[in-house]
Amino acid sequence: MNGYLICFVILNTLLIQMPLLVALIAGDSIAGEANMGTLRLSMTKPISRTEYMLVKFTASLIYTLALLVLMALLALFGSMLIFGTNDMVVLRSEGIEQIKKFDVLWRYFAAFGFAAVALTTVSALAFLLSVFAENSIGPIIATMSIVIVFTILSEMNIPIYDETIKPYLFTSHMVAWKGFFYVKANAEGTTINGSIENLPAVLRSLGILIVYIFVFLGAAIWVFRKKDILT
Amino acid sequence: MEKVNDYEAKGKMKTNVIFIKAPIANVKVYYKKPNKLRINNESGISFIPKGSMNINLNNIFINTEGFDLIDMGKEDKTAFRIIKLLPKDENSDVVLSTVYVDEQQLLIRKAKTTTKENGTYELEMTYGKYAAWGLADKVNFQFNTKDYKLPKGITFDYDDGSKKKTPSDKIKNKKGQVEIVYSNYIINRGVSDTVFQ
Repeated sequence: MNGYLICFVILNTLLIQMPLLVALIAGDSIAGEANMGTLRLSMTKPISRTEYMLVKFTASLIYTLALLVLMALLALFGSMLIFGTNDMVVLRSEGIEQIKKFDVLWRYFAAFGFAAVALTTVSALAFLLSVFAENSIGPIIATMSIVIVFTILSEMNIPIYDETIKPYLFTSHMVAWKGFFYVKANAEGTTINGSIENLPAVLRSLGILIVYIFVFLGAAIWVFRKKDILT
Repeated sequence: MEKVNDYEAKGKMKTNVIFIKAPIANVKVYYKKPNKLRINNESGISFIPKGSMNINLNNIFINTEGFDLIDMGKEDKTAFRIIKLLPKDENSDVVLSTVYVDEQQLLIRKAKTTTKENGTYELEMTYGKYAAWGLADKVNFQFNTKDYKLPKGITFDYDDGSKKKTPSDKIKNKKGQVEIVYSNYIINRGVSDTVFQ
């Protein structure tokens, strides 16, 4: 047991717990204003609705990144400080991987970078749902429901469904940060330092998440521009 | 080997098991008569199969009631003498041991041991500059591996879409091996008992 392993376990909260914290803010960003009755007032300012939405989303994005930086400081550096560092052992359903101590830290930086994009996707989803509501509870619950249901679907092993539905669920790609901890090995099973088993797949997942962000954000702006603001 | 009371050896350990990806480890091996053996990884973690403490041949021969010997003649290719050892002690973990002896150099080159608890394992020794002490420069330890499978719900694996997964029936009955290449031995200079604790 060492700090690297502890942080790896904590990073798994990226699936459920962290999205909740992100959804709390992003889901409240528009719906909260509508609930308080300040949305209509804001629209009287000489800025376009698109600009307003982009600023609001940027605020959610800054919160998301700040949350992740805090998590990185506490989970990674905190664990390293308390539990020390050593080789890292990664458990997979099909095997065990061991990464040398000196080869771990850069993988965490890459993983946290990926996690930022993954959480931004959740943030964009909550932001989109926020446009439709006049109470922030609705978008928060709806976002979490979608994340939980999609995560369950992502973890189910049904062969036909693996190729048809699973690749299109954003939750399937949110765990791609783990790809940075899957190392290549030679024919004798000896790990190759500094290698990533399937970097193109990780980058593809990253691309899919970025597409999701743009789709959610674009849809949110499009709906908001057409929205009849009554509160 | 009779001349060796203890030794400390540095070496590189390579693990080759189908479901383990591990780097080459720098290890220190400590031995003390009669059968104390410890493998220390100098800078990290190492996976050592259960029963691999028998990586030292002395452990096979540690048996108070001794063995019955069956001379099976010489191996065709190598002319090594094949001797089967059947332990007299019914409670012994070792069921059968077959050793291949190089009669010219008086060295055990290979040993196949079947145990009750840890399956069958095979030791192959390559000797070099420490042959006079009966100590190998390279030890290859082979063992049977069992199926490894963890539920995906526990590991939350990232499925990258590639179809590289090994069917579990292929993993079954595969052999794993651990190879230690020794770089130097320090012999009979005394090894503290605390090392083995």
